[in-house]
Amino acid sequence: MRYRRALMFATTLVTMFLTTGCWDRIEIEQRATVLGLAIDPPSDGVEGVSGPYAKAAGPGFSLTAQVAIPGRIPLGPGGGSGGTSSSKPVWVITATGRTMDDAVNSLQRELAEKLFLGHLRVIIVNQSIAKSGALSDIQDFLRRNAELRRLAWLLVSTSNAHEAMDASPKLERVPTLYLVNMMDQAVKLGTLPNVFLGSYWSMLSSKAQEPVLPLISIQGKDQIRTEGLAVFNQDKMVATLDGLETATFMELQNNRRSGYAVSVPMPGDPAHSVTVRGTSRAARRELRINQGKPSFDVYSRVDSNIEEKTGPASLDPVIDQVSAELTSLVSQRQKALIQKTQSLGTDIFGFGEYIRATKPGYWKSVGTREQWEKIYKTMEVRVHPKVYVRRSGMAAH
Amino acid sequence: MNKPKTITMVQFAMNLGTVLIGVGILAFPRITVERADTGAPVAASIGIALMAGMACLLGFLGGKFPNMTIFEYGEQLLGRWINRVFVVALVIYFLALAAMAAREFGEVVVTSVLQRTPVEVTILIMVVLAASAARNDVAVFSRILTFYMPFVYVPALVIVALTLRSARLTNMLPLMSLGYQADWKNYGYAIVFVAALFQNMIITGLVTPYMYQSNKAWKGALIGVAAAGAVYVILLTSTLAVFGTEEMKNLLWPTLELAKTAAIPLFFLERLDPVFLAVWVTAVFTAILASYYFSIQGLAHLFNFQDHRVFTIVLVPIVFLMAMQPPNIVEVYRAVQAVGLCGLVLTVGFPVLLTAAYLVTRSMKKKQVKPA
Repeated sequence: MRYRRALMFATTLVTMFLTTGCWDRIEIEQRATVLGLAIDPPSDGVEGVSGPYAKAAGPGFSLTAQVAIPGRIPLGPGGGSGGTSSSKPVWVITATGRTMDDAVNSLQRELAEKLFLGHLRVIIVNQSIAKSGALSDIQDFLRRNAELRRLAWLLVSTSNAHEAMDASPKLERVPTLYLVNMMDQAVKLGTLPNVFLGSYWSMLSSKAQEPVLPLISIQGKDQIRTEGLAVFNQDKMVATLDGLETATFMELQNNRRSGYAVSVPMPGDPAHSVTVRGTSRAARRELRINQGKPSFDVYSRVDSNIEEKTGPASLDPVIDQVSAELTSLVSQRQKALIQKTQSLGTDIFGFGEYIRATKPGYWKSVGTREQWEKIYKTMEVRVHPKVYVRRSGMAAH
Repeated sequence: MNKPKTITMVQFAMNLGTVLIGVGILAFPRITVERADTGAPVAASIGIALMAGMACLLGFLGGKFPNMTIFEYGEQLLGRWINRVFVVALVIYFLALAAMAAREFGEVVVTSVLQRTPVEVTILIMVVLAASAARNDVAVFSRILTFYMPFVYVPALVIVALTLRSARLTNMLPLMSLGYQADWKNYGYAIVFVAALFQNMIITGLVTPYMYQSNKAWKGALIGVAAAGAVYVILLTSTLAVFGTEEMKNLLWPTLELAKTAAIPLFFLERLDPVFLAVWVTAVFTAILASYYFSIQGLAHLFNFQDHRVFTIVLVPIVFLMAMQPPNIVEVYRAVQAVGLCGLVLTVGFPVLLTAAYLVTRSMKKKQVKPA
């Protein structure tokens, strides 16, 4: 009985020490919460800390992090009690490294607190890095980090990415959160497809679909603009799509929310125009295989509203003509976009994935991504768009 | 010897449904997809059906011997010594299974949540927790499992529902991958691997004598395995639809990544992976408890002990040391798969053998009755 009591005592004592969870206790003031990361090529020498063997594609990276300063992040609407405008809620720091981890470690040397990536919302990559193919070396680090969320935005910037970290938009006190809001809204408005870090990964590793990523540009000091999409071939950026091409891409992808406006000349009055905004879209693809050659028919439908008309002519008699003109315009654009991707050999639409999914027997003869790229370049894709003008706003004619 | 009857059929079904969902749900989508590609959900269903059959056999036998556990009627059917060999093998095997589950649990926790906590501590706490819960009798054991059932099922399904936004149909097709992406050998491996995750269904043999209506045990077994199987297939299908086969092969724990992809547009619950992990810890606990409890009851039977409690603490260091054997994460998964597959010989073989023995003895008895 005495032994039993001693055993109980020992067990209690051990449990008390082991189950407190103190190992991973970390106060919020002790960690540097990174909200945004910008990755640029290094402007001059690279200072790595992980030893001479750290190597990635290219000379290395210059990493700029936007770190939240505890206590200065406004909580809730209205910006809280708010400090003065001189106390910025974030701190921007830069470090270089030969690999991603190397750069992060060297960033850590500039900070007393431990870097925490659990709230990382935006990663911006300079397009010169995206074009060099170093993105695959960047994404591996992100993939292994357990804190990171898959829903973070991965963006490509046309100029230096670190400028986006420095920018201080007027509508939101935390620049990164403004950027996040901007991307979320773009998806809601239907101007950008919902492609985030996780979907980039899925497409990158898929058997026959090339990834796209949102493209932004930084203009002046405080202005950030969405430009469209960056098109990738595996991990190398090969082209960009502008706004209207992005709209066309989304039409072909069955992306239901539509938010682009497009103008056509007024029927019978080429000096004036009618501007129409898409409201909803739908697309369906059909695969045919003829003598071992695949071809696609893409049927798409766009519902739209008239947003503006210039000139005096009345709209009522020509409304059918407007939709016919729009249909032919959309048809041209779709053909042009498909041709563009075919000449690049990048199947961003996932036609190959569709074949793999629905005709596995045929896909077996295709086999590899490289082989599919070859077939895609000469594959016939017929487009059958239909644009309907449904409403014309509050004006009667 | 009569046993106290406290467990209803529905309760038994809930128990099975809880113990079958264990640590494996995080990694199994990757392992099955590596082998069977897009055919994985179908392969998994076949494996689950196989184990549902085994659980039914045990339920059927439980109905025929309404006052005996699997160890006791095994003795009657196979003879004392043959049965002992099997019980020893089962005891060792389920200890190893508990150890592997504890290790896999520790690896997940150290990698994704408590990065500075030593893995030994996480494992030890889980094993001690299971051991202390295993001190109860079967009625309480069953009630513990029943209690946790909704905590395991509801959040898992909610998370799946929240991720379906990024699901894509083309990722799931073709449904039958055999001949296109997977050959017989790999496809078979996927089936067997999923079946190996359902080995805890052996507790059917332990619980049936405590049921009010042992003759309905097979029904409860079927419902329980089907419910757990549904969760497995749903998780597999949704990870597949969201990530696609090739991306899944890059993810160590696709189910956890799925939880990371889920988001409710509410600021304080923006991340759901902590919720999911909390749920998963309960699921792991119940699964380890079941394996451990089965082993202990087996030992108690072997040594003719009335009280199984003596063994609960004695076995903790053994399980802990077994769990600490693999040196790294690659070896952990090699060991988990090896242990799971080897055990299948035992967990499928034993019920089949028992049923065969039962049928043979029954037909022999009938023959003896006839001439008289």
